[in-house]
Amino acid sequence: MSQEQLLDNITHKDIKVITSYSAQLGDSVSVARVFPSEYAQLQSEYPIFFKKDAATGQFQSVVLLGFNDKENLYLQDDKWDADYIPLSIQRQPFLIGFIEKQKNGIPVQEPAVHIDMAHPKVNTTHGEPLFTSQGGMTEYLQKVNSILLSIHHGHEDNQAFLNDLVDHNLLESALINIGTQQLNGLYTINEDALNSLADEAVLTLNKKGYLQHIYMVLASLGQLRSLINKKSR
Amino acid sequence: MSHNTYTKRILIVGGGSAGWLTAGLLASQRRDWQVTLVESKHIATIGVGEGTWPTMRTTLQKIGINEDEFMHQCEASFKQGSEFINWAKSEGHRYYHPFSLPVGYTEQVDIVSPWLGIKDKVDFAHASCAQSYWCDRALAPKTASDPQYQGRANYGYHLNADKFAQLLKQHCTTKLGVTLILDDVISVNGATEGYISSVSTRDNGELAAELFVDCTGSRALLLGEHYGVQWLSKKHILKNDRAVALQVSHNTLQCEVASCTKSTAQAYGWIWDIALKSRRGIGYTFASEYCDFEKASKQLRQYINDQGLYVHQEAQVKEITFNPGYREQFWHKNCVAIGMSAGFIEPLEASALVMIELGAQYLCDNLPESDNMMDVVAQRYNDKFKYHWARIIDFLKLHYVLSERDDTPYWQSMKSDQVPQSLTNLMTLWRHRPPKHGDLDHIDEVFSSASYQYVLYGMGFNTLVDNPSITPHINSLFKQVTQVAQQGLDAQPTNRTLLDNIAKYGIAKV
Repeated sequence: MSQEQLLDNITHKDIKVITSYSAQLGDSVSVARVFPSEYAQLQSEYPIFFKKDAATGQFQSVVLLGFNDKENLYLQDDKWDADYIPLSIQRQPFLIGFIEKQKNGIPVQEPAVHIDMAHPKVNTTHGEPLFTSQGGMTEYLQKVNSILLSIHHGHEDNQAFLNDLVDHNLLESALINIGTQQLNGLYTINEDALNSLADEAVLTLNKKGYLQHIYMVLASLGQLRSLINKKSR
Repeated sequence: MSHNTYTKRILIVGGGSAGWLTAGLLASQRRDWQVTLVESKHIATIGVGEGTWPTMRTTLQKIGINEDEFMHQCEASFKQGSEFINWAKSEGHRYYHPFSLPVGYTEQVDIVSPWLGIKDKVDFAHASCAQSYWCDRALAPKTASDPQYQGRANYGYHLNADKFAQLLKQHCTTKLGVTLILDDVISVNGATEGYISSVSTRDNGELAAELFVDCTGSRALLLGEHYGVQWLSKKHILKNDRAVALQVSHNTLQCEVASCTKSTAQAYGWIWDIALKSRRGIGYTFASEYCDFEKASKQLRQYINDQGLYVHQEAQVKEITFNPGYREQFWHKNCVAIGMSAGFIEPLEASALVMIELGAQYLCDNLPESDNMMDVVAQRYNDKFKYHWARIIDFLKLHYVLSERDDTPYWQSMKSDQVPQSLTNLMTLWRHRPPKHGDLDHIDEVFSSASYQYVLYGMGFNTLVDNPSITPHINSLFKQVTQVAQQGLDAQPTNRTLLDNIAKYGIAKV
């Protein structure tokens, strides 16, 4: 069970976070959430898909890391074998929580950095400290902050992008057979629908930068082959 | 050389669910016909018929309405079947008639005979259909990830009938090119050989068409008043001919929204309880031979009270009078009646909307291209729908005939008097073996033998079979039911949770 706390420099002054990756440290996941701003870096290393959030049914962007539950084929001993690691992985064990603040007497929800104290990367002896002895943020924590900020904006970007894909009927179920096994619940770009888009729609998508996103996703599918190779290694 | 660009015209007289569903199905599927609907500003729709069948999913898809838009506009919730409370005995009895088929039914496996051997351990619906477990917990038939109109089980809807007609009207007029004329029809004008040539309206003059659809409700302005086609009353068989109805708020906006229609038998009829997202629609249909509006309203309020719900003393109870039955003919010359103008029996098993869907779809598939085709189609339509109505009457009567109740003269009469011979024959058959596919004549039966199984064995009917044995195959089928049930219990949200989620995020098309 996670145990989320609002981060502050008193409660968490002695906390350190391990920055390496391994199964013991909670990195054995077969799917990771990603955001359109990352597509360019992701597409040369991971296959990008869309997947529905189980609770809301909303589409998310994800990269596939393995074919079975808790199988992460990018993990090699204590190393994540890739040049780029998705932000949603890099952020662990931190997350954005919302706290209620008063603004001119009106309660408003504001994002704030939280830490999951139950996360295996959290301890007091190993890894990067969060605060300096004076109570200021370490360089590491500043980096975490900027990652969380990117994720925060990434949610909105992702939603806007996916809404457009849905509106233009550009999503379809991805049928992936790995040997006798079939992967369910993944979606990809419907290329037929893409090729028959009206000129006007193409222009609109292009102006928003979405056409580029779309082709990144399509290009990333080539990584499925390398993932299968990793699996058979 | 000029082509004949003449379009054939259909005039639908009357709005409401019947008029607008017919308009939607016609306009979306038959672009070669021009559809006009004339609706009175002064006549209110009856606004009942708040439970649909799973067929409504196909109907809405054909009309081209998104499921999330439909649910939002009509305050709709998911319906997985009906629960019958105190029908077999006056106390402590309940059973389901779920929408999904019994396990093995499609493969024509007899699940009933082996079940009879274990009937004291598990009731028929729970033994044969996972959906029963989901109804127990007011779960939705689908998850947030399931695309529009798809689910883990067969499902229909509970909806606000007035808002449903509004949505259909808006969709038909803005997206499907249906012309709406808001006016009162003041006369029906005949042409040669008894055909109708036009109707005259107060402000819009004469409206001519090749085909007229009478959706004017029980008034039946065209088929009844103009043509004088008789109404065949079936009150002697099914005595309920009155209803009182109230809309009741939920206690909180977090409370559960039942995913089946609850039907609770009463001294002189039964009470329906339909949970929408925003409220519950609760009504008591009863027989005027034994009970009056005042007494019925009292029992209705008692029920509402027993449910822990609150309704203001001043709240206006809607009083409805009807004569159960159907018309001698539904299609005469170039006029076809759809909706309450064609037939109406008490709302048990929610047959009203599905009969509209069936009628309108048949019309779409068989629009007459000439006058001689008209006569043939009319004859075939009449035969088919007379058969449908007769089977509906059989099936509804079955609910009463199987009852052990004799606490009032109403129940004594309803279960024993005027049982149609066709029903008696089937029951004789089923004393010796369970209902199977071929027992009913038509391929498009309104109620299949699966429905008969649920009601018969839900009510405790006994079929005499020799030593019912459970083979390994049957055992695996029973196991499959509990496994699927458990998967659903783990994965499916409650009706309330999913409805809230849909309001926020919609439902994806893929």
